[in-house]
Amino acid sequence: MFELDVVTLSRLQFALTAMYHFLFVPLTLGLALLLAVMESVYVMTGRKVWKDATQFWGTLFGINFAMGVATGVTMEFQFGTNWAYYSHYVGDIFGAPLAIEGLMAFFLEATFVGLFFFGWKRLSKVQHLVVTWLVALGANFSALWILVANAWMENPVGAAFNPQTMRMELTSFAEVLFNPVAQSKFVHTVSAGYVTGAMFVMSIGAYYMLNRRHVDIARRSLTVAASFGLASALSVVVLGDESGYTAGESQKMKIAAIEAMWETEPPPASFTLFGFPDLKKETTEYEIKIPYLLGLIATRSLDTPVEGVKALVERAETRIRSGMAGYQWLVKEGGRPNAVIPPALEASMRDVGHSLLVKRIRPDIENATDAQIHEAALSTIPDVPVLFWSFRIMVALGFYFIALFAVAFYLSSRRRCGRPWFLRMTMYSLPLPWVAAELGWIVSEYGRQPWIIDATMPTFLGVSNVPASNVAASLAAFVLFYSALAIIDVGLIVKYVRIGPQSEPEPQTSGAPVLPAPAPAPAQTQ
Amino acid sequence: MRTRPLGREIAIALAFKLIALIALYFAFFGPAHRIRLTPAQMAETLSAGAPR
Repeated sequence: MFELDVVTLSRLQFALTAMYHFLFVPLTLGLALLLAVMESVYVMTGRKVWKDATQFWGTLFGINFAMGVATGVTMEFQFGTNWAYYSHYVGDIFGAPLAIEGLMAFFLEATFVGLFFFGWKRLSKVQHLVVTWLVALGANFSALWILVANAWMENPVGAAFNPQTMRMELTSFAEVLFNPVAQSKFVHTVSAGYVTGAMFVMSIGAYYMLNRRHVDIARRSLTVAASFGLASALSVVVLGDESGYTAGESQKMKIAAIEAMWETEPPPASFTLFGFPDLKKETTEYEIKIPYLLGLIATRSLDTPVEGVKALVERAETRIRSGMAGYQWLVKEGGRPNAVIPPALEASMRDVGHSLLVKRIRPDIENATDAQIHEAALSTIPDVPVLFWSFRIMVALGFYFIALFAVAFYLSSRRRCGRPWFLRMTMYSLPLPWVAAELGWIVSEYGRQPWIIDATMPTFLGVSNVPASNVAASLAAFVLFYSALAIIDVGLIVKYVRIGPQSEPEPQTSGAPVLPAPAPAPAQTQ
Repeated sequence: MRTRPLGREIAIALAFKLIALIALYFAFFGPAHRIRLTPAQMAETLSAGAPR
């Protein structure tokens, strides 16, 4: 099915490590903010149960945070080991937000995480609360810089190609930072993280309530998570819509593939709610459509057509032909100290990325036949069924989260959240935010193919000049190492959930005797 | 008064981090360790065939 060359193996390795890493990131984002909320309530009310809740969820946060850091570092190194040409080509732009993220995580986030865990007895209540909020802010800012880098690959703004250095160079850091794709991606991603954190707290709270353990903390945690989760789940859908709009502006093929929309949709464009994409016939069978919706999502209008796959392939073919002249000039003049793009070739240079797609078919692209150019244009279509279904399952889960959090909010506000059907449903929903988040990344990154930088550099050109066996060996090592980490992580989380919240006695400030903390309930055995 | 020793500890930890970062940079990433890549080599890679 797959040709296991260096390109496929490098992509597989990055996909596996990124998807694995993103098991930990959303929980860090969501749980950090929930810790800050719970500790704020503790500082405002002085009720110790909130401190116990913060410390308990903080322990689970710590396990998750450590795993997130360990799995994130390896990804950044892969840019050097497996994607060397890409790194040389765009390192000046792509490296800056990654470096800022690394420094922020190293100095800001990690420092305050340390203070969060070891500062309970050394900081005042308010000082510790400030630290917890800074942990939450630091985690979110780290996500911002990573997503700025990631969004640049989808919408490469604020940069220009220099034919003298044969690299892309930064022209405006502000444009890179305020890239509309980055902004919409950031808010959508962190909201999804908040949903994950809220579901985690609610599900484990539901588990305790079903087992009648730690009910006091569980009920309070569930109440906070329900309201926080409802606001976050609503935000995810609204901000996801904004992501759809920015993709409709800059990545039309991705939108067409998500919609399995082969023909251009005349205005007002309708949204395909359901159907079965048929690649051979280039149609979607049994379509159920919602009128006007796609026009509003992708163009924010009812009088603009939304281009289909076939029209976009035709346009890609035109751009491949257009870029040939620029490519030939680059081959002759590129890399010379005095190379300056002739004004007559500026339009062609913008399409060189498309011409490079032909290299996958033949190296001397200037001699490509019409059939080969058409084949290269067809390669701009991402995997339609994967995108179509991933997107729909993700959206369906998004609406399920809104419904579940709304029910949770309603029940907890009426002090009826102890109903067994609700608690079971909540408990079994635990893995769903991770499923939705991973599907979201599949839509985003698999939908970007065949580009590593949209319309600028094909993915296959970005790899390192290393033997495929090297990448296969490191991939196997990652699988083994990450499987071991997964076992450790799940084991630790289960262990600490079974132990449950521990209550430390408050420092005695009055003459009243301090009661010893209750012993943890024994783990239930079958 | 209580925060003074903690502030010192944090400052020491940050200083160690900075030293570690600088040491890592010179040990593995400094100019001496960089692969020399000329614009001509970049151009040559662009004109070569797709990696397999």
